[in-house]
Amino acid sequence: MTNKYAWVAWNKHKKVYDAILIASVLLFIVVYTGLSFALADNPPDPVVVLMRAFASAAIVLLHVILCVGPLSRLSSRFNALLYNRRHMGVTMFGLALLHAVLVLFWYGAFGDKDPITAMFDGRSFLSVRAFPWESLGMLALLILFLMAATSHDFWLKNLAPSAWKALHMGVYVAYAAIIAHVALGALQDNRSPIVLGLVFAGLLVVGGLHVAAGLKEAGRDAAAPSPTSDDEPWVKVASADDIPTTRGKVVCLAGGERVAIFNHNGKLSAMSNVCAHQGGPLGEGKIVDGCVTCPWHGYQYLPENGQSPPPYDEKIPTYAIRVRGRDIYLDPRPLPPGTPVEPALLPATADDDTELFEPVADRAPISDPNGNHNGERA
Amino acid sequence: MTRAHRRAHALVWPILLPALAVLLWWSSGLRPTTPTQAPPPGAITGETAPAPSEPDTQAPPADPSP
Repeated sequence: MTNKYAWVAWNKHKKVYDAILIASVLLFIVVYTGLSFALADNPPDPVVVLMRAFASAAIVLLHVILCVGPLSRLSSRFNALLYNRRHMGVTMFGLALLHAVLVLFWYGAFGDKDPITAMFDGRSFLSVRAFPWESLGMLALLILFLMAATSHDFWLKNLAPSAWKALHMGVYVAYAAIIAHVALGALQDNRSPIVLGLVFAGLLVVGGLHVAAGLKEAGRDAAAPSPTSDDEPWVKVASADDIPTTRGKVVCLAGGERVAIFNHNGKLSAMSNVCAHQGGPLGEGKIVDGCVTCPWHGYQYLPENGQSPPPYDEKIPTYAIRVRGRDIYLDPRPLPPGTPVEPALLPATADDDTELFEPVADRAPISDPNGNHNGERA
Repeated sequence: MTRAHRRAHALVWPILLPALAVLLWWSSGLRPTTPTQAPPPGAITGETAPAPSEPDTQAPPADPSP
């Protein structure tokens, strides 16, 4: 969280995560290098093998990184992979940079011109065979550099999460540039159907997972309940039996907003489902030490007001909530971030139909007769 | 994720996936090749050219050593 910054806020989980990451990368490079020598008819140049090993490791890691997001949206069991995804990204940038440095020094060190100028000599952007495909790799490397350089929470906080997210959506441009870099470069020299098939399979897996996750999200949005009228904004969003204690439930509202409803020892609170840190789905988290805890990176919020506990200062919008019988109702209009809201009490058992709160129509109106919100609202 | 972020995701991949798949197919040599212009008069085309009489390999050069 953002009380103060450290280069890396190490803990046991991050150390284990990074140890597995580094070991996997090293294993990949060793296996790739070994197979390259074992399967070659003539002994290959070790520098060329190494530069290809770095590039291949970076591409495989990029595919893993791109799969983590949709996988976690399809199933919360993959949330653990999100926890330190930024270290995967920085590692991938490091591998891509090593590949680029080796290429520039190995192929460009012996000419009269500097390697960058020589790259465009006799090349044409209008030809497949003569296309300067290295430029696509350079574009991807530039994007990956910007992402790696701004990956720290310091930049997330100072760029604002929306701008930071927009910048980091550049990974899709980088991915497209890398696929084009491979298609117009390596695949022009290596016509192996196995290599082509692997690139195709990677594209289908990454794209297919994103499309599947998008369809799932669209289905949830389509099922969103709508208020019956402006005078009666409350919408029924869940049943008391839907939310186990210390857990949450994500409900979709008309218009695409999502709200996390949490059960804290029989008291219900509602807040935005979007974590102020990286937009993690708060409703898929749980209550730890009395705080709603984001499943992605552990950011915490008090259920009753959507504020991070001191000394942290994150705030998210809250929502008015009430219970009628065993039905949970929500006012879909968000309150300003950090606004305290009285929790709604759950009935004790499924047989208890006592209305602990007065009927909706008897409550004080949320809006005044002129349609203006009362003083609590934005 | 915010609503805007979800929408961005929903828009990107239906475009990116087929575009990159076409790029891979087009650049892989699997695409059908068609001549872009008619051959000049008198040119030897595949229909008129004689069949190759030699296999498409070369014999190794003779060893110049005595």
